[in-house]
Amino acid sequence: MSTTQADMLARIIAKVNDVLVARLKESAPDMVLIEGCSDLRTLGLDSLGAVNLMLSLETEFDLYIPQDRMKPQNFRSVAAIAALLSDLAKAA
Amino acid sequence: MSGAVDRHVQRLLHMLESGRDPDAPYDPLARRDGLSQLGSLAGSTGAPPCLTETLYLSGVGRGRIYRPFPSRSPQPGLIYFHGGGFVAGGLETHDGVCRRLARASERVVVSATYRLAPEFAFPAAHVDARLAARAIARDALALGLDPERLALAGDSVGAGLAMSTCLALAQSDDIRFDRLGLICPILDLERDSPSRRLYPRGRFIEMDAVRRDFELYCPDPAIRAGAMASPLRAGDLSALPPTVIHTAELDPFRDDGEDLSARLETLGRQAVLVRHDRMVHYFYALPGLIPSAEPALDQFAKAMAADPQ
Repeated sequence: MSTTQADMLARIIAKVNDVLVARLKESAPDMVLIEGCSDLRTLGLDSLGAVNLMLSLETEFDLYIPQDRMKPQNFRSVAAIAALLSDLAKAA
Repeated sequence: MSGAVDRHVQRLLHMLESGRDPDAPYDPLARRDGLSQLGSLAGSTGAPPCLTETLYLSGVGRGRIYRPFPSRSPQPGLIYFHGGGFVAGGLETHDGVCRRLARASERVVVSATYRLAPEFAFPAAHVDARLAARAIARDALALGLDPERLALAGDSVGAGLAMSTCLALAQSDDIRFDRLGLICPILDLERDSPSRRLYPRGRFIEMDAVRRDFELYCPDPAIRAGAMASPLRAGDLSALPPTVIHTAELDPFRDDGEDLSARLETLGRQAVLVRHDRMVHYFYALPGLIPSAEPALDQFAKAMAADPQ
């Protein structure tokens, strides 16, 4: 894995954490353990959480997620988000 | 009625839909967190600066005062109650809304909190709203507010609290407000209406979840249908001051505000109704996502401006 890829994953995980930690603060006070393929829905990502995650990712990576890429499967896991963001970066 | 959706709203609805899990359990506390984060990500974009102070209301909660400009003389005021289905919302989610209202209405806005469900059930929110409004009205001069030019306003269930408070304080304490402002108001917790049937889901509001919010706050259907919780059912509206009502076309609660406007008009009372086409409930609080939020709130605020003295 290149440094850039590792850096991207770390930044995505940080944003996912921001969105999910509020939900899970009682059971997991500081961090939610997120692995690349964890299903974010089972970790508590809901529809408002998805909006917050997309807005955070757009700001963090300075990009615009087009409507046709806002599919549930693109936000199901950190790995899926990384693939989407790489695609968007290539297209830009 | 077109039913068409603004393209920015459409983008928000796509985002919501991509995270929707039909099997997810009902979780009002997750929604409280989600709305709070959404407020910091999209709620304060472009919000104008104001002088702010924290207000401690005896026993009931906190408030935040927004002064649009410094002044030595008492200024017209506006007491504001945020929305959030009785389970969510607070000073932070509506900080941008209150700043914009203060600047565009040239009133000192006092955003007042109230206790939320499920921790606190009916009548906690209604009692807190009344106590806060009464305390602010009685202490108006000390807070730099003109007691003769105090308005009440709110959005969503906060608009229902504002209307209910306006009617109650006129009766109990003879406190009169000079304007009532209702943004996408929810004025009846029990009724069925054409707009509720038209937009039961997928338009920012999920009616099933909101109904459960209401049940959580107020489990007894007879109390939900009473005039305190559902002020649209109040028999006597003569205590209402000139009323400004803004609705959104694609809001399941659109009929509440529009039916109130029609009733006031029949009674010969002063009411201004504005419907925002192609918009959904809560659009006004999300200027970071929906650019029309800003001009809509400015228009509402200008209609709430006090008469010059």
